[in-house]
Amino acid sequence: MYKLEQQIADWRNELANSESIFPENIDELEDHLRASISSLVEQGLSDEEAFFVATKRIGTSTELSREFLKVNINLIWFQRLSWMIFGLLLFQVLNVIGSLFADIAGIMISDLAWEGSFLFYAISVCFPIMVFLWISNISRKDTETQNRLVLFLQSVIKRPIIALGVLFPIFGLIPLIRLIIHGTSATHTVAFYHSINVYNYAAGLFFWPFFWMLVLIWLNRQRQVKCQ
Amino acid sequence: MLNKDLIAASSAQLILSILAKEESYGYDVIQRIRTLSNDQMIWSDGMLYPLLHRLEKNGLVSSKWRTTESGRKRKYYRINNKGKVAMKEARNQWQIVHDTLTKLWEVSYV
Repeated sequence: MYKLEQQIADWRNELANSESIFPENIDELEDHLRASISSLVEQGLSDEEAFFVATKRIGTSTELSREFLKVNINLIWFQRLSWMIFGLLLFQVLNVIGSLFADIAGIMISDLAWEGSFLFYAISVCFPIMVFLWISNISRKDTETQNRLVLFLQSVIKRPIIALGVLFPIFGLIPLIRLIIHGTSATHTVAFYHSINVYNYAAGLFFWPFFWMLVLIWLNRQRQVKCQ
Repeated sequence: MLNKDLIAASSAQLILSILAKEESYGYDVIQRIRTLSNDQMIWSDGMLYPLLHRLEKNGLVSSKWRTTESGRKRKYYRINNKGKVAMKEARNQWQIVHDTLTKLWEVSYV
């Protein structure tokens, strides 16, 4: 039995990999593909044959993304900017989480610096794993968000080195850079994150996310005005 | 089959002329062009959409998502006043090309 729906879903995923083709574009192309398939089936082709002919007619994902790039270029830049801001936001939130871990580590072992930072790194590694497991658990229950989260999980599984590479600078490199710049002010990781006080927590959790959200909303409005 | 450059040059005018008759969607536009040209003008289907979006961005056409009878979402395109003006201008130019070539061919055949 030929699984047409699965083939179409795979085809959609392939297009979704391109930065220049937006979900709305894919919806439109899918409608075209389905119309094309049903007309070919009426002419006597099987589902499988019709799918291959229809996708061939619509063009490869490389051709499509090249064409869409020309039209969508402004939006693509907006999207890139959004990701940068999102990255900043995530960085700040993780920074706060890092200081929370350091506090926990500092409370549990206050005398021995090495053991304190060891505990800090242990929690820092455990936390992302817990979040990862938590997300994979949600995606089984909730079918609406499943597709997006499954894609996210797959990409994380495919690139464990990158995931580690992201975590290391966040929890390891920042204190190190500070150490290089300030010399002796931060002798180990825990001390660095420990120095963040309650105002930093408040700013990291409430003020900065709020601020960047406002910036995003403002950018989005500018874009909509431009589109009209 | 028609030459690639000629297809590219005439595509916007073809789309506008089809939409000037009534609103339509991508698949239908391509089918009409195929039928009207007796299968001589065959576009790579996916290329139509960036073109439609460019026309929309330039304010020549506007679009709307609707649900079809079969329950599928479909994007319909309609020509704007600006598009009609652009179409008329382009039409005059195509007419000039057409007339000139016709005259030349008539002379050479006599």
